Amino acid sequence: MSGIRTILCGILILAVGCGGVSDAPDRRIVTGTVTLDGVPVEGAAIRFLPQPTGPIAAGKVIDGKYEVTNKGGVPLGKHRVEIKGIPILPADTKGMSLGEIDAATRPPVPIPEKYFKNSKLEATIEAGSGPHTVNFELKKESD
Amino acid sequence: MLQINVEKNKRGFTLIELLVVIAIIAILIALLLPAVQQAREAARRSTCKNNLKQVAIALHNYHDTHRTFPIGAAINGGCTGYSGSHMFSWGVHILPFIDQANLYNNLNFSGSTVFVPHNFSSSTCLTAVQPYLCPSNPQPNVVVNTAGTFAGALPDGMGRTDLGGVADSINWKCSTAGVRPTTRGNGVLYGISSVKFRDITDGTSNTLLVGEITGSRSPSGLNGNSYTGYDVFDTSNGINSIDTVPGGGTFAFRPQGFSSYHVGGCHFVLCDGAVRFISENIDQGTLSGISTRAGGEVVGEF
Repeated sequence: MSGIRTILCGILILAVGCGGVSDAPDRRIVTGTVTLDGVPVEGAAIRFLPQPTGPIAAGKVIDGKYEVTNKGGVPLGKHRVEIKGIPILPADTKGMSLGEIDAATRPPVPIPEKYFKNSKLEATIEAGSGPHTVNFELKKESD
Repeated sequence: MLQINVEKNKRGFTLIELLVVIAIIAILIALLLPAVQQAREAARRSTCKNNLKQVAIALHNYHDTHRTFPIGAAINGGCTGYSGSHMFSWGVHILPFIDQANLYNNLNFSGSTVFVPHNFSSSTCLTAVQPYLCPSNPQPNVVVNTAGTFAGALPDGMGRTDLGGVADSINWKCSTAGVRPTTRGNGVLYGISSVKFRDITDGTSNTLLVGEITGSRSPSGLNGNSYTGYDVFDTSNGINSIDTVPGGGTFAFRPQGFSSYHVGGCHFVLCDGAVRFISENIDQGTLSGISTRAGGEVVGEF
């Protein structure tokens, strides 16, 4: 009987040992607010670029708030952050043609280029439980 | 009596031995079942790869015939005009090269809004074309737009597509307004593009040409992109990023970059005709580098 038990245990251990290897980094959901001169940014795109290398994580800023959840959030570690205004679609577009939607779309919030091209904004995402909060206070004038 | 005694001495399996054998078989089946499911997905992925290869060959044949890659997408008036007529996308221009010459000949290229042709009917023209559809994508083959926020923006029944051209590494749209494709893309298929092989100085095996896109699985509201309109996107947000269902988001009006229902990434056609599966965890610098046709980046393995 002990021989059979040994064989069974062996099979069980083999079965448990079959797992895949993934290239996915550890991630964490990141939320926060984005303001320009104290005013919440109506619509913008926010991108977290891991430094020095790694997969990008992106989210949308709506009415000053953002949440990066896709693929499980932002990879842990240091990031360079880019924030850029995006065109704001009309709230209700029922029955509109593409042309009408375009005509009703408002131009992006004028976020200065220094926050997008070669942005110096930084964020460090630390390991932990629950969402990580990072707030960004942008300023129009150069300092 | 003697015969019965012989029968009793015959060896057989005890109950315990039988149970052990059954248990081993059960464990083996339990191990195998997930593998069978993986095999199905692997087969779909393989079919998808084959579809993209057909499209790659079609694009190369187009280049051989017309001495340039097809126009990516466009609207009359470029970035400034809102109401100009749409032009057919690259997906329509390569139809004769993927055995769909009849579909192509049905089209009226001189209409004022060629995006939705005059003789449009879901049964006679612009039906779904098999190589443009990924078998892993659970969506219907046609654009469904019966209700929801963008009802009326695109008619029901136009052929859907799971492929989009790589227009730019930063933004496929004009930076100033709306949802018009830019005419200054640094990729290969962008607004009013006419890129030739000689323009791809980064090397054809280091430049993306076409990638996979997905749409919404919801039966109401605009559920995807048609291959007729401007079917080009950028790689600025990576793969399976915001607003894509595979990335864990909610589809919003238009695909916002490349994604697929194959777990972990999506397929891309490179300019040399190769089809590669690229991980959603690719380094963003590398992804930008292979999106541009003449950026001069030194890219590592991808």
